[in-house]
Amino acid sequence: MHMSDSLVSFAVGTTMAAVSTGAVGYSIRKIKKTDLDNSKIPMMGVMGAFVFAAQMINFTIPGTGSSGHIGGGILLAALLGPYPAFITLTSVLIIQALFFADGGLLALGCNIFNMGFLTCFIAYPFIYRQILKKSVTPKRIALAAILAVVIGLQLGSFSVVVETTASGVTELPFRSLLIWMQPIHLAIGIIEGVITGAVLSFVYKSRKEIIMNSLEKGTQKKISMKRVLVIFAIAAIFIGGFLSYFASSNPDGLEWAIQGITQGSEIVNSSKTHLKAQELQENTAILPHYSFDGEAQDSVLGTSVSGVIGGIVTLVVTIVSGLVIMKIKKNKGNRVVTDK
Amino acid sequence: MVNINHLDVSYSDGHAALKQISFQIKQGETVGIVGSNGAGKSTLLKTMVGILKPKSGSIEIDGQLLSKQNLRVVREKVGVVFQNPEDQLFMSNVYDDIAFGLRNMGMDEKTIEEKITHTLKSLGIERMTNQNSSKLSGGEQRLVAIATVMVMEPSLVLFDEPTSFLDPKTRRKLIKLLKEYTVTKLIATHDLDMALELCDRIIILKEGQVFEQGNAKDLLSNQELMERADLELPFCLQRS
Amino acid sequence: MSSINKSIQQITALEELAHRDTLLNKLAPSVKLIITFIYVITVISFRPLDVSGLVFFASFPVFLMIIGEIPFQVLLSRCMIALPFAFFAGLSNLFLEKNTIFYFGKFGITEGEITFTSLMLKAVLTVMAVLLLVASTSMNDLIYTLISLHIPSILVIQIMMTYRYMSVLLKEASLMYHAYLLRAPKEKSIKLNDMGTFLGQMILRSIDRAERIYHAMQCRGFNGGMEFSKREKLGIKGWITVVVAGSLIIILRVVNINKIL
Repeated sequence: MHMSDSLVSFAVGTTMAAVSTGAVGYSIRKIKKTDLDNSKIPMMGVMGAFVFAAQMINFTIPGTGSSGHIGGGILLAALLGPYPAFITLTSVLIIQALFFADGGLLALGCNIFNMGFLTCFIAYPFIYRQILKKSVTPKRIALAAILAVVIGLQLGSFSVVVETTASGVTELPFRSLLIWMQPIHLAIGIIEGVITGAVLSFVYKSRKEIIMNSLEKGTQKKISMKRVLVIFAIAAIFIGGFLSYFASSNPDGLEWAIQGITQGSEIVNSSKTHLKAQELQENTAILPHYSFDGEAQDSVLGTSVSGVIGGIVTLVVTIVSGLVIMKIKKNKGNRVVTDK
Repeated sequence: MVNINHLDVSYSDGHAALKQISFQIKQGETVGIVGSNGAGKSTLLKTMVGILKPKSGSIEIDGQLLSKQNLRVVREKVGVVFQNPEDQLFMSNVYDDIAFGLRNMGMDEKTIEEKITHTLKSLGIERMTNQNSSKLSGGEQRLVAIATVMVMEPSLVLFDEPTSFLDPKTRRKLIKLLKEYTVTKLIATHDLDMALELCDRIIILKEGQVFEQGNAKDLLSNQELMERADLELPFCLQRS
Repeated sequence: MSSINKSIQQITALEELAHRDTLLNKLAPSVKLIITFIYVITVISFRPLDVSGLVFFASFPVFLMIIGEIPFQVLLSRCMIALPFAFFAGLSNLFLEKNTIFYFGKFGITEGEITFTSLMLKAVLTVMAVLLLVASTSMNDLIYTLISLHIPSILVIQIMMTYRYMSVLLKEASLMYHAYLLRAPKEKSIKLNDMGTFLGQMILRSIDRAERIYHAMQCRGFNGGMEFSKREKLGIKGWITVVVAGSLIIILRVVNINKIL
């Protein structure tokens, strides 16, 4: 479920980062305003750690012999309320990206949206809380949890598919990717949902107040929740639309910016440098076009071979210079020792 | 220094945890609270710093009557070393953990640094300043936990099982350290040998009530009394 | 089971690397964070067909690995965790883009093979970059960096506390897991039926722990805010490093070294 940096394009990564940053900012404001209860702060931290620990516990999936683990979005939302849960999940995802190579820096926005936003602000309020609106019993909690987890995961994996296709890194068409991803996550969702349901009804049976407190607190904020969703939907459409237009008319943002810079210098400089700039521009991307006619093949072959050789040469140079630096450093260290 | 009068505390389910507790502690005294599991030791400590609210009775510490209004004032005067240092050390390094309380008191960073350096030196753990507390051993964590309290210069320190989880050698070091730390201390413990060594007086709790209080040596060596309190004699007195 | 111990080991392994005294560790954390971002974004900005440009970018992690004295295997094994998804996503390119673009000697190279290679390279390079950052920067320094970059303190506190209690709870979970398996010797892992109770117990313990932590905080005057040590901001030296390294990365992206060589 975690998207890695290599799967997102610059445009998609930054768009989702903007959306998620907005959601994080809003949640923080919300927590500061409404959750005056300071005990939430250590609670969130420890529950974040709990999600890690819980993910490490493998269980046997009956009939298959394989094992799985839980994700934790709905679980956190049911225990802490949506805003604290979202912030907790965000910090969990940041730690996963940094320390476990799960996800990446640029993909962080996507992951926070797919796994945090969609569960805490869509699946939790519209599924989990709706089901528990009338009455709360262990069975209803289990049902609510299963449905919320399944739908949350479906939304999340759909979002992964959309983000991946929009990024254009894989050639797999939208439809096949969808057909591949959704059923897998349906299966994962059902199992995770059953466990989340069992955990929550256990907590309800032994410490009722924990489940009830976050449910009651949630209801007071119902109106603002809708507003948040509308704001974010508009923001996402606006930013997404703008950036994808920007991305489609220009191969990618950075390239476009670079082009801007080189063209800017063109005006000032003479025509000779203009040509050079253009040449430079063409070299920016090797294999700039998708199809090559026979004539171009030679030159492409040339650049590619030299590219590989160049890469190796650079690598060797860096390794040597690195080793030289280390040697100098070590010698310095030795000198200090001998001086003493 | 401490004056507790007819203290009644109940759990949220209405079950009485402490019943009619009364005792005094004089300035500079070291007092032990002993009693079997569930006798109410931890509850008493929690009530003394306002984590739990008493149903009735009064707690007076250093001239301040504990109430909702002066909770902050009382908490600045009373330090608590909790049973598990893992609960007490929650920041990303030892320095920030020790600075936490001082910063909440509104002290400036320069004074804070001076105080921390001084405290760490007096405990002999300066080298740990920038370490992550999860990397420290149990004994080291305990020392840092004590440092977080010591640095705030409280006039009364409550210890909850200070020798738990410690190996014999570290325990010995800790006892020595507590002996040298001349502040009014209230120590809740199962470690009766330590109580015998450190405490001037002890209070024996049984089923939420003060069962007996008095001179540490007299009470702890009284086999018949200890048995009635569901306790045993300290090891060092058992064979003699 | 082994996964619990493994992840505890992973955390400690990176921590230990981060606490050494190498040239890379000495660099200001905020400098490293900014440069890592520039690097990752630049790597991602390469078009799917542009592999040869990407090759040059492998020099950065290799160079940093040397001056950071970071064992190669540690990073490589971490990379492996991140690769499968990129691998499967990229696999489709191999089958769907069959048209040959050029010949390398006798071998025809298809478009798909190039985009697949580029995807995998990107995956390795971006993961390497982040791991290098973490392997040379302690959590402590990372926390201060986030604060100095004006990341809201609530989020930073969450990251800090989650990281702090991660290993504590993992140890606890590991004990409970062992206790379970010792009483259920026939099971390989926890039965699905018991999972609710097992995790539920873990939650209750965690909640109790959070309460105790809160009490400890209260006793030292906690009232919602948390302050951190003030560390020096990105000085002139830091900015120079950022600008030099940043422009080096960008120049390498813009200028085609192949033509120069």
